[in-house]
Amino acid sequence: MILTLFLIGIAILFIGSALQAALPRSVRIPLFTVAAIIGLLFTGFASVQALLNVPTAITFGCPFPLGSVTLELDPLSAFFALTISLGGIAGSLYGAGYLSGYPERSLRGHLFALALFLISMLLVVTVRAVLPFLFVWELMSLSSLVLVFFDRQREEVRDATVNYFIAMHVAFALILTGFLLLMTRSGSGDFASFAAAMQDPAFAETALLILFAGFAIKAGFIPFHSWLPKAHPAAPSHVSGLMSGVMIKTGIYGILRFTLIVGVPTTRLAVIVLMVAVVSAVVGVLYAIAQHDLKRLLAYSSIENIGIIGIGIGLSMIGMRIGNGPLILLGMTGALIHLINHSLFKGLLFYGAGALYRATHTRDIEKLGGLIGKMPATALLFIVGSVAIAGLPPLNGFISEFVLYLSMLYGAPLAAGGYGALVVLTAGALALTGILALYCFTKACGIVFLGSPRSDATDTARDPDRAMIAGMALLAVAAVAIGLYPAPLFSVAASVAALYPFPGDAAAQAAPVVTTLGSVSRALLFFVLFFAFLYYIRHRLLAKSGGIATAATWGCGYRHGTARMQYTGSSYASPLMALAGQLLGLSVHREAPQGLFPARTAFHSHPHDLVDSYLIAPGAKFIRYLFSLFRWVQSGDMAQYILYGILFLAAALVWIMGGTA
Amino acid sequence: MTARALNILFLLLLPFLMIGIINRVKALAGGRKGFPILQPFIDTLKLLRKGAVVSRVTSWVFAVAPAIALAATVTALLIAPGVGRTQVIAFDGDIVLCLYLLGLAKFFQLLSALDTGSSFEGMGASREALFSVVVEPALFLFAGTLALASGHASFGELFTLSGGSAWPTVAASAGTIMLFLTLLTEGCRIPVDDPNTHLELTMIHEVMILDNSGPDLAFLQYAAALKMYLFAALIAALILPADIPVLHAAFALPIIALLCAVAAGLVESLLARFRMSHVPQFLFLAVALALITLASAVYFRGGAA
Repeated sequence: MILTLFLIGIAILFIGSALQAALPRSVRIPLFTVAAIIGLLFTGFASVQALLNVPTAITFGCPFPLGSVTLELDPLSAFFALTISLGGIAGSLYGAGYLSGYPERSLRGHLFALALFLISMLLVVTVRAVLPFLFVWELMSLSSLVLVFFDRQREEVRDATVNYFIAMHVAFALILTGFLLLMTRSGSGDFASFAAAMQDPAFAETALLILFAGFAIKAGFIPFHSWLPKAHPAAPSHVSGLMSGVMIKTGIYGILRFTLIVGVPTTRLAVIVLMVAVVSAVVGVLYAIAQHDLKRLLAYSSIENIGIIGIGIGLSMIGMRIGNGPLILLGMTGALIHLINHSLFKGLLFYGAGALYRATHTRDIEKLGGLIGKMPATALLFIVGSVAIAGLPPLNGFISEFVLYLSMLYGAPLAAGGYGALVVLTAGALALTGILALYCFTKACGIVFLGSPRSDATDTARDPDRAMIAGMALLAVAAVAIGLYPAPLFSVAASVAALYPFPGDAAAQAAPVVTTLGSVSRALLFFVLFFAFLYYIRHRLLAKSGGIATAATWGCGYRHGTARMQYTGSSYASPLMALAGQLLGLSVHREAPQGLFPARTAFHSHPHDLVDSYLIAPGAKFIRYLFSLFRWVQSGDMAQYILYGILFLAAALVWIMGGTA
Repeated sequence: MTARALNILFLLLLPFLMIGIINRVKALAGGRKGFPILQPFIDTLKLLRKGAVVSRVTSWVFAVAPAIALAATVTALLIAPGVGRTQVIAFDGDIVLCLYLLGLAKFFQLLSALDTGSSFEGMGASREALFSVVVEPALFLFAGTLALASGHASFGELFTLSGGSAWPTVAASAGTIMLFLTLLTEGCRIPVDDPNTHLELTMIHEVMILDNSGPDLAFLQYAAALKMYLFAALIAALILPADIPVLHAAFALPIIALLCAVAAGLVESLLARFRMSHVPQFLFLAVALALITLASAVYFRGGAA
């Protein structure tokens, strides 16, 4: 029954997108949007039902080679399907507004790919066998590839698309290898059969390392992230929001699904996951601070947040290894809550960046400034998203980080020896990530929206149309609601986390945390009311004393300050870059003023990615070299090709003769 | 109940007293008489009755930031351990909310500085952000270490050191130095920041609030003083004996807070502000101390287990 609803939702989505292709251009966007929202409401509703009631499965026959395909909504799948549905609804709504800015495009293929993208993500998290999984996984990669390729006139987009294409297929190859390895032992492509195959810990570790590497490419963990900061900025913003908010989470899904199947991972695997996650979180946010391009900044911040999710998963895996209840349950719950939180606020921020791009035609934050006056709604929503992504109360980002800290506070004293220290150090790393995110997003909001305009790009800026605002507002409201009233989401996420091997009664462990979150809610409510009270007092005091006078900003007595003298994003980031710039490969070109009356001076800084410079670029060079060794095969000389033909025929002749003799 | 009422009373009184005492110590050390110890309190009351001058460039962010900063700081102080380590608001993991509320205050203060479009304020904001990047992980490492050693998760319990070994001594001494460094940093004192400088280029906190006036300025100054008091209260919680009676604690807390103020005043009289590029090196000392505490916690725990 529940799965029928789920399938109806997918069918509505598919039919809507197929129908729009046949109809005139004017009805395409509305038709697609309505179909997408209704369809995703169905799948979202089905996921909630599956989470709250009983998990269900449905099997149906498919043509060769898939055979019979089973779709299953267990709590883990349902949680991801819910995330995809929520993100998809906001994305479709926003996309309707965003795409109306391209009246010259037919959009037929784009909308169809968008529907396939959403459908394939929903199926990735529900299928349960190798072949269907690989099929929908590839469909997801290809449909998103088409979506990224939207602005194909721009060279940057073409480069990013090729890069994305290659990265996704390296990931595909790794996942395929992992599956084949597992199938040699299990003899079946059914995920359930892998549990028995992974009884041997050494074998399971090898298989999982290969699989996780593939999933890590999709998720964007460092050092597997190279495609991500290129593809996200290249894609149109409704697609960036969906890719960053929702699609990369399917990589996390893969990791969680196979952790669930293996049961208890080996210590080495758990520590590797935690280390990769910590590096992704800290280095990801450092790279984010270094960026000048708003969408690249958001892309690196996605790597950071994937890192935070990974920290929860890593802690949980270590907890499974050493039988540490709080780490298992609260680490996993924190990761899951952060996953849904990130899909909300990162979608919101990418949509905000899209609105900015539409209004100013630039993504360079150094050219923006003072937009809060011209785009008040976008500014408010973007600031809400920034507070949330910096993990600050009273919004949702705080809740997931709080649960992660709680897992470490409870878990550390129970963990013996070095593990306790590891947990405390992880808490320090999470704190470092949090404060760097604060740095990063004060930079993003402060430079883009506050102060005075830094160039004429902002002259004609205005808020986007209602559909785009609605898509963003939906996400912002969800972020505030989860922040102030987190208990229901926590309970749902904890019930998913309880699937994992847990010593004792998981529900008994989760119950006091619900009470704690109630206390958090009350403290936050107190804060909000106290703020309102203080603001009212301020208002009354100012009214009594004669109100507010306006004047110019204090300029130390200098009267001819211009907007160009403001702090820029790079200067705001520069003290940190002085400390960490070398670590990041930041290249700086400085032309110092010379002489008594300097005529010119210049400063450029360009953030590189060390993984690109030292891993991807040499790797690509090596591959080029390797293939250049065989270049003589394709000489272009006709005589040589005829020789190949003769040699082939001769070889075939020998082979056939040998066979008959 | 009494302890909680005292906590709130101290919130209103001690922050101003601390500022007053720091100034008095500096004046005496410099051979001057100094202004009355309650002057900061009187200044704040006066500011509340004044009108405000606001820059044309600013937006609503500038208007709400002081109220957000003060509300968040006060809420954080209600969570922090006060007299006899009692908290007005307490639950497991409350320390995270306390520190993150200070983060929220910081977020809006940084935005408010950038909202004025002044390069001086931008400069102050970026320095303030950088210093927190070093201090914040140290605080969380320390809190995590205390959780590791105590098995508790609530602020007051975390800061109750116990055990027969040398652990309480090690933790209390390393922790006190670390928290005092944090007090100097977050309270914007020398050697990190100089509250009395008259050159905007060298200010950090003061330059961020250059454009605030009237009630906004009063809110921000009170919030800054409260933050300094918070770290003094944490030092008190860390070094006072575990089973101190409430009556004694009610006297001990203000004395320790005022001693911290005297110490800050002496530091300010004896040292000059560090070069900006050297401040992070100085602050890494806090991280190092937190790591030392962690190492000793693991060491002493290993013996017990």
